[in-house]
Amino acid sequence: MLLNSVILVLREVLEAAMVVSLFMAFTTVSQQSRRFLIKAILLGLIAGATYAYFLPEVSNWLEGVGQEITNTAIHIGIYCCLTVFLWLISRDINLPNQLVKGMMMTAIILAISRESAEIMLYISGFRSDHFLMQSVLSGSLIGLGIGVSCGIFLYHLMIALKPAPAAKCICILVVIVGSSMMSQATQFLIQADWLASSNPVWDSSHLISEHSLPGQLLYALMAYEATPTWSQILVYLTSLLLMLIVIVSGRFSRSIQHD
Amino acid sequence: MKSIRLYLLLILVATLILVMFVSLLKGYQSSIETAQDLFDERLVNTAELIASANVAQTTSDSAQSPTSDYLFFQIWDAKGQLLTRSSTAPHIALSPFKKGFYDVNFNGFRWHNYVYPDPQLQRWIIVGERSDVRSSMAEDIVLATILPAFFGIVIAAILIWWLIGTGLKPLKNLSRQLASKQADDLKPIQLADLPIEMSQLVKIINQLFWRLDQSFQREQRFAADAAHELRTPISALQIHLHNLRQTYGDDSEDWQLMQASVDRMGHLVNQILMLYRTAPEQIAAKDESIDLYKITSDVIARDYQQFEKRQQHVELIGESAMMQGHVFALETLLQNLLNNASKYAPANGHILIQVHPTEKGVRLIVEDDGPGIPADQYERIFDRFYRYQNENSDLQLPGCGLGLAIVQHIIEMHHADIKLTNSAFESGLKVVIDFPAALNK
Repeated sequence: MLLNSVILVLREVLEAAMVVSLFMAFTTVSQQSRRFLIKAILLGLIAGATYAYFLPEVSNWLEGVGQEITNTAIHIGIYCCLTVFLWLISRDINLPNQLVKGMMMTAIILAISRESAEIMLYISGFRSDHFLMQSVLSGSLIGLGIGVSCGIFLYHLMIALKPAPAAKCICILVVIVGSSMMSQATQFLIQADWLASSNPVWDSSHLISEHSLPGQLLYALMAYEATPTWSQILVYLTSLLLMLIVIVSGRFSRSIQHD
Repeated sequence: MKSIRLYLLLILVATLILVMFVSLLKGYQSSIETAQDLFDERLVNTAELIASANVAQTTSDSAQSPTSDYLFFQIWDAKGQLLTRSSTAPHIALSPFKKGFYDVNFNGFRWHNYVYPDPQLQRWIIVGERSDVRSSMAEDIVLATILPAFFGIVIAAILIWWLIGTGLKPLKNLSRQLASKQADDLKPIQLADLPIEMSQLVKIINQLFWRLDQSFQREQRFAADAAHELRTPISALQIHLHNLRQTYGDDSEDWQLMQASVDRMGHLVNQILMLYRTAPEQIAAKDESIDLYKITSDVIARDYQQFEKRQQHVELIGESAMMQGHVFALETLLQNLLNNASKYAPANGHILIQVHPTEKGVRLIVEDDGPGIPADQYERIFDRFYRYQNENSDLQLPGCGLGLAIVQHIIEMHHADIKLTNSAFESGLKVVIDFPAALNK
């Protein structure tokens, strides 16, 4: 049970930590105040608690697939925010621009609300079993600790770079994280039977298991699946390409404006 | 990076958590495996024990009472007939008759079984334990070793916080010494037990202080030399000009302009020297107790001629007001303020000076009935060489734009506050200065 808790919590925390760390690093590189990000984290936690509270009801929507569809919508929302964020910064519209702030805050609120709701719901499921609760809490604490530590390392790694390469690295990681959000949205749609499930294209579990720490890190970064389907691969690559096109077109329109 | 201490704490605790938790997970996995091996060994022992305790070769219908709810056993003869069983066990064989461990489902639970062939009595003993109970017991044992690690991390974080604070103490002492230094204190920094990492930094700072001190001394010498070298020829020029006018009896506009230019040059040199002398780096306010009212009255008396020349009415209101300050600097401040007031007030105009003791120190107010200054210019007029020229006035007043910059220096030196507003007259400027009673160095 401890191991299961570690995996579940680590998976959720890493995902949110990745988004928060990248934006924190971006704010530091831009020499702006990080207060609005703290606000977004707190708002995300409140939204997560609210979502967790209504989750049993949400699950009953759409003939029992309400949770999957809501999660899909949240992931698509995060992807859209990250794409607009990339478009703005590639057009040289930076902080403290309100739209950039708004996109960053929305992405964080959405990411934290979904991930924290999953964790809260998972832990609350063991309320009646005191013995298991101890294992679950210990596992959750370990998962939380590893996830937050990875986020802190990512943040310091980014700010250790010079501003220009740091901004580039952040953009690349945002593209990868954004595409992973869409890949996860596809997984939810497959779970909800809104997308047809197909045979896995490959099986790399013997190389990197989904349940190992590297597997979890890769999952948070790029929605790593040892047995992905064609639809997941297709959506992942399309989202990645779309974000890259957004960056290139943003830069192009900036250069036209400068000319 | 806002705080080195916070940065180090975060990064060290994150490293500690990451390394410790990953090790804990690895330890947990291998401990669970070891515990499972131990439970398997216990299952084998139980099977052997049951075999030695049950030697009857006849079938018995009555099930034996179980040792516990999560354990069962069955004894089968070589022909596959059930000889006896625990009450928790069914009538069918729960595993194939082949030595080894098996996992099966029955009675709503997952069971881990061991099949033991009894070589002496040619029987099969099947012993099983509930898998969830085995896992719980294993986890219970392992958790007892994990839980102290959480408290360990909290204690480690507190210790790291304290140790970083101790490690950064020399840096704190250095910054405290630098912060407490007066503007004119350029003595080298002395810190005991300096760590190697900081000795180079302190050495460079001390070298910088030495160079700064040398440069100030050079500047002081230059100022003294310049005062001597520039004042003397300007005074000579003024005398020669006066003599020439006497000799030629010419009072044409050219002569007057030349006289005004030489006067302005003399004033400019004096003001530049004064600006330099009153700079906070050059002069520190002494803890000298003075009566600002008396100083003001002395300055007015000394400079009364300039007011009289323009038939201006000067009024001093107030009472004795004691404060700590630098007499020479305060006289210069008053001279500049009064000079400005006299310059901008019209002929027959009014200049009102008030000096009063206040709760926190002394308040000096100088106001005139001149044209005044718009509020948006209040900050700029303290800039060096900046002169405000009223757009509605054709009046070209002499001056070099250094008077209020000098005032600003003296204000800073005395840690005083200065405010500019409209005067109580129909028009004009009001300067309010609040001096603290004592100088907090």
